[in-house]
Amino acid sequence: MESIMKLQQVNKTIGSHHVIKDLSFDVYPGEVFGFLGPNGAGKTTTIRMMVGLMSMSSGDIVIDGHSIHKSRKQAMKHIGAIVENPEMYPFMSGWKNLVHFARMTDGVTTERIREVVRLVGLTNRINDKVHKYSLGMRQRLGIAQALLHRPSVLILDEPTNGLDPSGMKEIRAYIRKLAKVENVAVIVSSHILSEMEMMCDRIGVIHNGELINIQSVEEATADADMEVTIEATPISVVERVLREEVEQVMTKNDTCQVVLEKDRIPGITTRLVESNVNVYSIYTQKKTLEDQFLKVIGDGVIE
Amino acid sequence: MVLLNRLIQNEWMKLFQQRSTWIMIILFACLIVGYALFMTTEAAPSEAYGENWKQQLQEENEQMRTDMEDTPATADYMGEQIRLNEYRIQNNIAPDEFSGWNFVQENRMFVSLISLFSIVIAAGTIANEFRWGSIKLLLIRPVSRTKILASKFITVLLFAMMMLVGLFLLSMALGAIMFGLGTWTEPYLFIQDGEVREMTIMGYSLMQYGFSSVNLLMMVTFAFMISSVFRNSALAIGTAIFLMMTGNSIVTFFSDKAWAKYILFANTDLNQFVRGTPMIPELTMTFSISVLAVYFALFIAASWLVFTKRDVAST
Repeated sequence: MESIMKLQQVNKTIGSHHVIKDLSFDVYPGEVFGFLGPNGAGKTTTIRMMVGLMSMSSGDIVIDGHSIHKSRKQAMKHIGAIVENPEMYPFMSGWKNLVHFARMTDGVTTERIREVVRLVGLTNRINDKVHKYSLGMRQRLGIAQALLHRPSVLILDEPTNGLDPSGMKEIRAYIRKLAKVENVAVIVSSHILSEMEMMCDRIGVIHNGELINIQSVEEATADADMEVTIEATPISVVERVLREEVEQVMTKNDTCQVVLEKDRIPGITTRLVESNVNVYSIYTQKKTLEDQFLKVIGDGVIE
Repeated sequence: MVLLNRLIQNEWMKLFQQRSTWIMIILFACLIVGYALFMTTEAAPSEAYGENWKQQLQEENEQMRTDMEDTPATADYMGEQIRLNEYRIQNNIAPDEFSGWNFVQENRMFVSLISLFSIVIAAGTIANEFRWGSIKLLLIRPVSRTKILASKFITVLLFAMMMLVGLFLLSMALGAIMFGLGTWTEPYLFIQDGEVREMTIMGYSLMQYGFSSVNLLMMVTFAFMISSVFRNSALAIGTAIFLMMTGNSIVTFFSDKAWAKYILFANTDLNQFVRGTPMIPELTMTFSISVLAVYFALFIAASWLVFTKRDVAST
């Protein structure tokens, strides 16, 4: 598949700080790409370079075949973005804000603005002034302005920042829908891993301006060990059976907890049944990317 | 291709969606109306000249000549008045009553208030986008930064022009209501290079408004530059107003220096060439206009360079 956005050895030096180091990756249509890193890792700087707010010290970013260096205007036609907070003009209505940004791109009709407003569910409040909006409504209006010109790459910096749980869930569902239905490439940044796992197809981890690894979320979870909790009696028998299979067993009251690969679970279940124990429940939980993430980040020191 | 007029439309919309813009306009209109009322009731120049106005003028001149000896400080002004009166007598031009046109001409002083308001707007137009954070949404469109900058500058100029035309028309309307317009061909006398000149009062008023706008344009462009370079509207308003107030003193202070004639404020008052008494004797109209053009180009170049080249970093 042809990538829609390509970062090629992007470097950024601010003063004597080498903030972004040789960043290269590709983003494909229809995927949600997570850009993960602790605060200060260079996420926002990278995003600012992607949308042309900051210049690159070296390297290039190519969007749908247009270099942001050489043909910025062509490249920007394909991008919709929210950088940090969706800061619109507070003294104007949501509608006027959208009209304002619609005028800045060719071919956005009034009908299209209405459609986008409906899409983000702001129809009832669109004529209110933005300073009366809640953070969630502002976030939605921000997404609306980013979608007006039907971009092929949507960049959202911390899109669930400041939202309540239901708002977060809504935005996540919405982002997934955009990628799948409209074939938009969505780039989402965050410092919260669990957030990312819920909405992204692939996650790139950035730390101190360097891309540490990129992996697909499914891959990561298939490989990952499962945390298995078994509730059964008599627990001593269970513990003995488990010890034959795995090194570490944690026993607490009537439950035992072990960590093992997913495909070993059926075997263990059979052994337990054969040992005549009463199994009440077997509960599994995916080990998240978190451990890997923390291992990568390590010291967590920001240079 | 995003046309410049669409961007100007945007800037104009943002300008008039802000309450402060309306407050300035309403305040301005109230001031002019208030001044008109004040002129009719308090300060109506009631010196009516009758049939034998020639004799009255001669008496005035006598009076002024004696006054001149007592207070030499006012000698220049009185001397000019005497010359104008003599010219009237010689050429048989009766002194007119205070007409609507005189009101229009006097209201030229409000142009400095327009400068003030336009400076405020010029200072905010870029700095506020940074303060609101909306600059990040503005600059990620398929539009060059140059075009966005141009749309902002043009909008500020359009605002200033709207205010100037508004001032002229409102003064004319008020003048007509309060004092009667008389006729626009009414001759206006003034002294240029020591000689009395005649001009229609409408032509003279337009010329004066035009000259006053030069200072306005330069200060607005200056405020715009500060706004672009430092992204701080308070700084832009402060420095522009400070320079506007102290400009003449700066020139006077350095007037014995050879480079004084290159100071912006030695050149902003083009009216000085009509009067024939420039602040620095060797100044000419052509020289001043060239100096103004260079300053203007510098201000615009600085605004442009910074606005188009600098990163929009985290706030």
